[in-house]
Formats: sequence, structure tokens, C-alpha cells
Amino acid sequence: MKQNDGLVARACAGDDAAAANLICAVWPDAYRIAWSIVRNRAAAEDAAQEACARAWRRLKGLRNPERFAVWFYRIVVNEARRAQRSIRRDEPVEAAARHDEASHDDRIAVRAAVDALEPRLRLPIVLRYFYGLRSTEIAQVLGAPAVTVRWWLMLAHRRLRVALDDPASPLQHTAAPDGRFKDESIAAG
Amino acid sequence: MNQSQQVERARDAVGAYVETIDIPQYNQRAVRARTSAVAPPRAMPRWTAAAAAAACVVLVAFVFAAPNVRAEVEQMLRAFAVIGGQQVPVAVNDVTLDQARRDMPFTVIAPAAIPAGLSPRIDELMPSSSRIDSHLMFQYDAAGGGPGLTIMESSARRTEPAQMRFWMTAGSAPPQAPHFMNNVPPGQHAFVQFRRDGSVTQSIRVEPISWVARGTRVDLISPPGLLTPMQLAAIRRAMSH
Repeated sequence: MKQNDGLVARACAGDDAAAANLICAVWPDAYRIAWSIVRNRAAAEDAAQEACARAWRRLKGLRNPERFAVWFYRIVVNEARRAQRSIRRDEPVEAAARHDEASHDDRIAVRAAVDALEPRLRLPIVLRYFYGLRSTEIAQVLGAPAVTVRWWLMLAHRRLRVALDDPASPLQHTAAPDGRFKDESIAAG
Repeated sequence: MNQSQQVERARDAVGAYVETIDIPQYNQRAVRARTSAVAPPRAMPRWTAAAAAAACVVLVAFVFAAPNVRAEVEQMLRAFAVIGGQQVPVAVNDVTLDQARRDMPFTVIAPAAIPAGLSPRIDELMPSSSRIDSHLMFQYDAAGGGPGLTIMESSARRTEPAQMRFWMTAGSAPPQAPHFMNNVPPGQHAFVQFRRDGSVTQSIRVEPISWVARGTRVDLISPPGLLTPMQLAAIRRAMSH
């Protein structure tokens, strides 16, 4: 996102061409984040388009252009969550990914490990390692306390470690009676 | 495998996962069209709807208006909650912020951007029958013993905030909730009455400013003229993160 700083500054100053280029540049991010939440191609595209449109409308006059990334991701997350609510419950989530010829077993295994994470763990770790956000920024994007985000990241790390060390191990996630998250695979170890 | 190697492996896994997301081509025309379209009306968030619909906070203050009994009044706070149409007694405990953080079933947000010179009394309000309906109240005295700034915190998970009633007195503790406040006008969120010798000497209607942060519902109750709009906005901003 850093490479877009110039575009962001110009777009916030009212340059419409810069705004158009900026939205085009961040489209892949919008779609990836939306897809990570809704896991449905049509809904993700709809949410990403709506988020881009909303961001475009509000760009002019954005008070903190240096925080554009967090601001934009937050809009995307909100739109994706809204789209998720409107998806029928019985609609199956789509398979994780496209499988190109370069794929091999290890690659599939690491992909599957992330794909198997619960959504609330998957998105934080994507924002952390793919988009390079700090936990406080992830907290702002997700609207969650930073301490909760750090807990999610820690859980995601543990799960990934277990899955990558032993790809055959099932990742079983259940909610404990008190509503807290219980990690059976860790508890068993 | 050391920690940095683990982080690197997690980064690789995330990278592999994200790279496989098949991104559709950007459709500028579609996005452009949405920018000029009127945004569809959205359902009011659940907590906002609840806040707007319910008389969520009712303050009933029975005080003898003379400032010199104010200190005594502070020791005689009684509270009642209306939960599911039933009136239940509420335990009131004067606590520290740390203690409140341990006790409350929601994230306690420390008041911030409060005008200088004000320090709060912090009370936990815990209904006997429902811990989830617990409230935390920060009370700041106003000059002259009048109603001051009050900040209420409660769990935003409640779809229908409990109605809270407070009774402060310089005399003996009231045996039950004040029944004359049952007919709170719709949309009126907070109401403060001052009484002396059984008759109302002053009534103040207060519209709380309400928001949700970190799963906690915050009601900022400031009698008219006590704080400026900028001061109120600063408090809200500071307590929204």
C-alpha cells in the first residue's frame, strides 16, 4: 500500500484521476479481504465493488491520508460482513483456490492449512503477514480490541504450526460453553 | 525450529493462500456506477435501535438541593433495574477502575478527555438476577451540587438495554424503586428530578450520547449547559478506540 502514497495524497486533495487509479490499484486487496470473509465469489465481488465505491465517494477530504490502508480495509471488512449476512446459510463456501500447474503437494498443504483456519483467525493472520499490519491496526480494521487480535494471531500461529508439522492432523475447533474458544488440537498436545 | 523460522513459515503459508485467490478483473464502470448511486438504506444497527427505542437510562435523583449535604448524598445511592418488565434490586459497589475491570462482564473503557479538575466516583451496578445487565457508572460532581457528568457503561451484547433507576437521598434509604417514573415518555432516555420534602423542585431531561466501542455500550449523560459540544465530542472520540 506504501507505493500508493502519492496517489492517496492526490486523491484526497480532490484529484479524480488519481482517485480512479487508486481504487483500481487497491481492487485486488479489496477482493482478497472480502473473499477471505465471505468465501463466495459473487458476494466477494459485490462487497469489494461496494467498498471501492464507498471509499471513492469519501476519499476527497479524508483527514488522515497516511492511514488510508487501515481506513480502506475497514470499509471492505464492513461491506464483506454485510454481504455475508445476506448470503443464504445453506450456500456452501467455495473451495479455497485456483489450482495451477505449478502447484505441488507442499504448496497445497500450506494453502490448506490457512484455508482450514476459522474465519476470525484467518483474516487477522492474512492482514498481519500479507498486508503487514500491526496488531493495533488489525484491531481497527476488524473493530476488535488489540488484545483480542493478538490472541487470535497466537491461536492462528499454533494452528498453523500443528497443521504444517502434521498435515494429517484434523483442526478441530469448538466453542467452549463459556463462549471462549477451545482448541482441541492444542489441548490434546 | 526457532520463532523467526516459525513466523517465516506462517508468512509463506499465508502468501501461498492469498496468491491462490483468483481475483476477478476490476470493473471500473460498475464501481463508478455505484459511486453515483444512492446508497441503499441500511438497517439500523441493533444497539442503535435498542438505544433509540428504549428508555435505557433513567436517573432519578432525590436530593436535598443544598450543596452542603452533597457528600452525605453520595453515600446513599440506591439503584433498581427493570429487566424483562420486572423490577429487580441492584447492588451498588463503590470500586476502583482496576476492580471494575475485573468484575464487569464487558470491556471497561476508562473515561478520557474529561475536563481538568473532575474526578469520578465509580460505582458497579449489579442486578441480583442478571450479571450481563451489570452497569458501570462514572459520576462527576458539578459545581454547586447539581447534576454532573455521568458515564454509564454496559455490555453491547444486550439487545434491549436494561432500564436503570437511581435514587439518591440524604435521608433514609428508600425501600423500593420510585414507582412514579414508570411512564417514561418514548424516546426520553434520562431524567433527573430533584425533590425536597417530597415535592419536585427541579426536573431535567437529558439526552444521552450513546455509542459502542469494543463491545461496550457507553452512555454519556451530561445535563444541558454543563459541557460544550466540543468537550462532549472530545470525550466520545477519546473513548471510541
